[in-house]
Amino acid sequence: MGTKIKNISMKIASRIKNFRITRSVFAYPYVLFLMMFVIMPLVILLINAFIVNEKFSFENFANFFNDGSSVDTLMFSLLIGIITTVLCILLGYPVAYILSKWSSGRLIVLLFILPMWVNFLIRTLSTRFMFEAIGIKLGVGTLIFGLVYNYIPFMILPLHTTLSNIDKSFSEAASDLGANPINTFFKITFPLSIPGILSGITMVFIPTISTFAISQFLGGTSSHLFGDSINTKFEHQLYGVGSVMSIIMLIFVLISNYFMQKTNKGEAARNLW
Amino acid sequence: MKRFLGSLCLIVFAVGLIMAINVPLVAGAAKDQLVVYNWADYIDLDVLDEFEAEYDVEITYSIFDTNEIMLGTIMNDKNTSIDLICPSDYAIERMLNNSLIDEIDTSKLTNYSNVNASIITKVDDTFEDLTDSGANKKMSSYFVPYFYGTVGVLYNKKHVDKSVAEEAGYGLLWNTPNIEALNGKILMKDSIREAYLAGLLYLKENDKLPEKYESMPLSKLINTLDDELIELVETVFKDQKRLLKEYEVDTGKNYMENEEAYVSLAWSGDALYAMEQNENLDYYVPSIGGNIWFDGWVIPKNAKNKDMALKFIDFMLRPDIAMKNAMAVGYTSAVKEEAVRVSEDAITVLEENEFDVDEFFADTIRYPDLDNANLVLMRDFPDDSALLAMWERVKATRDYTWLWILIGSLAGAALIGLAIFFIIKNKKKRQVVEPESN
Repeated sequence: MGTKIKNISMKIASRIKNFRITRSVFAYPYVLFLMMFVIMPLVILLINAFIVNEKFSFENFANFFNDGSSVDTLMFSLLIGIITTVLCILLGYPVAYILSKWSSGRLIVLLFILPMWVNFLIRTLSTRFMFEAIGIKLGVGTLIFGLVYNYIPFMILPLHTTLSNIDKSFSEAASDLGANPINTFFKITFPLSIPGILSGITMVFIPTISTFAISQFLGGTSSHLFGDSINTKFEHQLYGVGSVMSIIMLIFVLISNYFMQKTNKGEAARNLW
Repeated sequence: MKRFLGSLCLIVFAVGLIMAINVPLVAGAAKDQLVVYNWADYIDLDVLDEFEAEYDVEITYSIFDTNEIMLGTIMNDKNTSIDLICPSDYAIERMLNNSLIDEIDTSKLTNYSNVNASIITKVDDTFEDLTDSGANKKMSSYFVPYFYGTVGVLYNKKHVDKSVAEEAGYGLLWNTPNIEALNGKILMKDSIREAYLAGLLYLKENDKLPEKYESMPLSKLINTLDDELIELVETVFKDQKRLLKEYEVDTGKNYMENEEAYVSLAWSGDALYAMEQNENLDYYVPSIGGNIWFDGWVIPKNAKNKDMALKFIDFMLRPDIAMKNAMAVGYTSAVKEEAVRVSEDAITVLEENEFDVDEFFADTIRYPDLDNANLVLMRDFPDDSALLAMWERVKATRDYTWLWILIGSLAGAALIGLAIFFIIKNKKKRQVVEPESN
């Protein structure tokens, strides 16, 4: 027994002795931060979701799936997320493409990011006042507008980076070999820009399905999103169901991330920003 | 050397951390501390400074937006040391049932006689069956009234006549007078207790309640929660949805002031404030009856500075302080008219705010008749999850026509695109074929 303790204490002593300032030491504060504000909340979420009256149970999950409105709200949020993402691609791709062709593109990209420097609550509220001044009734349409407006920079930026990093000689070679501009675009530029699209999708789709402030400001009566629903649950101290819903959202985030990474083969990481 | 530097770094980091945690405690140790937890915008902040100066105390003032959020904080963290909270009647009931609050020794309050006695009677009559650790208790010995008010309908006289509105009662929120201008201009409170009450009373107005509920006294009806009533209320809310502009909690006053909405379910204080800003607005509690509520100060069991808390409550009951708060907040102070009238300071406060004293007290919106049996209090629903689920279902009811329009237009666009594609293809073929035929 005594030797064991001695062994352990010697081990610890040697650890302390061997302590050196290496580069990894500087990562410790961040690791600590990660533990406290990322890992811990996740653990608490799991505990809240699975422990009912101090016992392990699936009751919260059953409650969630039995209550038809929650699943319906989830589907609605996913639908809104998909529509927003598609609109962001449709609007953002041509812009990013044109800007990557221009030498002044960088400057104009700045103009697209500029609204992001204004606090998004102020931006969203002003959008709402604008709609009211014109006399447009708040609803699903205005909600989607608000989401696209808020998240389109997250689509344009990675796209712009990817598109301007594509070697020009590829498309030059294609046109030398007789491809017309349309063929060049669809056979060369577009496939090479897919990593950018994918990272754009992750950065737009995931925040949109979890948003709740924008829908409260711009949604009118008909756009109660999944984020709103979670918010109400926590406000009324239904921590169990609220945690289950957060976990379900997390699962969707993980699924979409997994697919993105699988199709992406790790290329987008460097193109993110 | 390197090792020395490393440990130095760690020590500095650790000391910094400890300092960061401890600094507020060290700095605040000199003075008496009082932690007050109140509704947002529910006090004149100058009054806090006045109290700090008079009693040489440091107040930590924090705020909450809804009773539910406040209850969440108190129930989940039983170690928080808050000295004073200002919840509503039904939240006080829940706190009492959970043994979270202490009795208040009103004999230590020199200004306690300033409290309007009708409030105490009304509250004690409603909450007659309260128990704390087995013993029968009076609500009034646990809280000191602060403000009160009613829940009613705020509307715009330009679009609805006074007589029409008051005739319609809660029905105005469902546009029963069938006024075209009101469609899409009605606001509903996104607060389930108030909404449920309005729904029930609307049903009662229209004799849509099943027989067994019809003869029920109002005070019992609005505090009944069962599946049958929930289902009935759910249908009327789903029906109401097409008429609504929005579900709101605190944006309603602005909408009404700016005439972007014409009818809203409102608290009397918000209504009075909005009416001051826009003279077209008017407010009524429907004749069938409605909710009257009381907010008051309670002292949690684990409060650290109960003596100072009592002094604070006493300070709040001073007529001039009560009027200052009433001016800042807009709701009705629990300090009675007679006490205000004899205090010169209080009268000065009213006059400074351009109120005629007689007019101020004669206003029936500000001072509703406390003896009116149709103004009833809400009781706590210990388990309101069924109600919450109903409210979520109402909010999740959606009109999907926009989706069909979207799908339709996408399909249309695809068809047109295909057509153009084939036309171009055919043209190209012809171009290729032509030279051969030559």
